[in-house]
Amino acid sequence: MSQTITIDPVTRLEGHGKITLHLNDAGVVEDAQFSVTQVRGFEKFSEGRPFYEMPGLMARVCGICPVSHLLASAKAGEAIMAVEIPYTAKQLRSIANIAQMVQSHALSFFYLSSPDLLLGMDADPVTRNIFGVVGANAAIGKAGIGLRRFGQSIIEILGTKRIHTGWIVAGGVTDPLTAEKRERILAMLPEARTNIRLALKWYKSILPNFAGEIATFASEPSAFLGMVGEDGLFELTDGTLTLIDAKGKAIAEGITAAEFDDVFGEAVEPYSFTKFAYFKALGYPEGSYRVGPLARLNICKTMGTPEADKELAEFRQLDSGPVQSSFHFHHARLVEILYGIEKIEELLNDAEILSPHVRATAGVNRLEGAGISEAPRGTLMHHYKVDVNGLMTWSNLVIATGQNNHAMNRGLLQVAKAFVRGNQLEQGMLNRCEAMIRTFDPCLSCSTHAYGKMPLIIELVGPGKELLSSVRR
Amino acid sequence: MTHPRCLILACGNPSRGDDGAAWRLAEMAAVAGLPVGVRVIVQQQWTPELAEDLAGCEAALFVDCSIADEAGVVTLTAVKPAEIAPNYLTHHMDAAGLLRLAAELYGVGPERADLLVIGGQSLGYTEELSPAVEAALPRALALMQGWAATQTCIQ
Repeated sequence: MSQTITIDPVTRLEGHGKITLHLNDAGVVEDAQFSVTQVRGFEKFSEGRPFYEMPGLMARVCGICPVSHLLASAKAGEAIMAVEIPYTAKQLRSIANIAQMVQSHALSFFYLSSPDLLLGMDADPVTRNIFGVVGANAAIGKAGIGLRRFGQSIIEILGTKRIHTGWIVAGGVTDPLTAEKRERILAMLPEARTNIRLALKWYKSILPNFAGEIATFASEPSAFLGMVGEDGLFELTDGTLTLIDAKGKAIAEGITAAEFDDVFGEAVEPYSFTKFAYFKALGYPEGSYRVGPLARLNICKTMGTPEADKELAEFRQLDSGPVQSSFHFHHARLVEILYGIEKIEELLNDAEILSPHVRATAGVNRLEGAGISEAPRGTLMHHYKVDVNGLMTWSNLVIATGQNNHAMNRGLLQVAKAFVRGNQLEQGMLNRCEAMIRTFDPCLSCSTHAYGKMPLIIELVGPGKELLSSVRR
Repeated sequence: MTHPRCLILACGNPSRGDDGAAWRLAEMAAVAGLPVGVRVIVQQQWTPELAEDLAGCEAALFVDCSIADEAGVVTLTAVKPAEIAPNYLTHHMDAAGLLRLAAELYGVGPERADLLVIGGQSLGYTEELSPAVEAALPRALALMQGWAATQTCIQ
C-alpha cells in the first residue's frame, strides 16, 4: 500500500516549508517534494509606489538578509536613474553586505545546523537546538554568538539599525562613515578572527563523521551561478555573474543585471509557491543550477584575502572538480565568514573610506532597471519597470532559494531514498531530509515567523487519504 | 568608569499593530528619561546574542506584548531562567530561555529579572496601536521607570 510522509513545517529554516515523501507499496521512497507554502505578494503590492521607495519596501521581504535586497533594489533604482554611485559609497555598501553575510552564515551554521553537526543526525530532537550546542561545546556556541553579533553590530554602526536600515538608497548611502565608527568596527575584528578560526578547525575535525551525508545530500552534479569581480576575484556586491557547468567550465560569463532576464527563466511547479530558475539556453529542468556559498567558491579563481585563499585551496581538495555535495555548503559558509573578516579590514583601511561623497542624485532617466547582489544564500536579482513619473508598473524578484529549488528537490529525493524506510520510520531518517534542506539555508520568508514553537508533524497517509500514523514534536 | 548594569530588552514588530507596543514604550522612555546606567535594546525578536548582554548586567527587564492577556492590561512579574532547556526550533527565544542561555554560556546572569507585558488586541498590518494598548502605555511607562529606579544600575 503506497504511503505519503509529510514534514510540515520543516524546522530550523528561515520561513515555512513542507516536505512530502511518497512511498511505494514496499515502503521505499519513490518521489519527494519540498514545497514553500507561503505567498508574499511583494511584486504585486509595489505597483504604483515610487521607485525610490523600493529599497525600504522590498527589504521587508526578509529579516535576515535585508541588506542584499536593499542593494539589489538600490542598484535597480540606479539603473533607472542612469547614475554611477561614488567610489566610497560602493566600498561602504560592500562592507554592509559582507557584514550581513557573516551574521546570516553564523545564524545558519551555528544556530540552525550545528546541532546536527555536534550531536549527530540521530540525536534526540529535544537536544537538537542552541542549548544542545552549548552543552556539547560551549566554545562553539560562544563563537557563533560572537560572529552573529559581529555582523549585526557592523550593520547597526553603519546604518543605525540592525534590520531594515534606511542607509542604503538608490544613489549610494545616506551618510558617510566617521572615523569613530571606523575604529569601533576595526576593534571588533580580532575576536571575530579568533572565533572563525576556532569554528573552521572544529568543523574540519568532525567532517569525517558525515561521509554518508556528504555522499547523499544533494550531491548530484549541477551547474553553478555566482558573482565574480575582475579576473575571477570573489565578489559579493559589484561584479558580474558567471555560470559554470558541472565540470567547472564557464558556459556564460560577464552576465550583467540588465541581461539576467535574457539568460535565465523561471519555471513553475504546482506544489510550491517558489519558482524554479533555469538557464534558458538549456531549458527547464536541464538548465537548473545552484547558487550560494558552494557556488561562489566553485566559481571564483581567488578569494583575494590571504587566509581565505589558503582555506579555498583546502576546500577544493574535497572534490576532483567543482565541489558537488551540498553538505559542503557548511564548509563554504565558514570560508566566506573568514573572507568577510579579512575583507572588511581591507575596506576600512581604504584611503577613501571616510570620504563625504557617498550619494549620487538623479531623477527618472530610464523606464526599466535591474540590480544584482549576492545574498548570503546566493544570487539575488531585482528588476523594475516604472512610468515617466517613476511610479512602479511592474517588478520581478529572483531569489536564491528559487535558483536552488530544483537542486533541493532532487537532493530531497536522493537523501530520502538513501535513508528513509517507510516501514521503520525513525526521527533520524526524517531529520536528514530536513538537514539536507538546511545545507542550502533556504530563505523562504524571513519576515513572517510563526509565533511560539514551530511544531514538526510527520504524517503517514494511506492511498485513501486515511491517516495511518502521526508523530508530533 | 561606569558600566550600564541594568538592561531593558524590548521586543516586537512595530509594523504589526499592538506587537509594536514595546517599541513605542522604549521611545517614550527615551523621551521621559531613565536613570543613568540603564541600557535599552529594542529588537523584533529576542535572539541568542542577547545572552551576552544579559550576562553582563545585574538586573534585566523584558518588555513584550501578548494577545493572550486582556487588551490594555499591564503586568510586571518576576521571570526565572527556564528550568528545562527549551527546545527552540528557530532562532528566537523567550525571556526564560535567554536567562538560561546566559547562565549556561557565561556562568552568570542578572540577579533579578522581570517581565513587563502589555495585553494586546490586534496584530494586524498597521503601525497604529489599538486604543486599549495606547491607553495602557502611561501605566506601562510608570512601571518601567519605577523598576529602573529601584535597581542599582551603576557599577
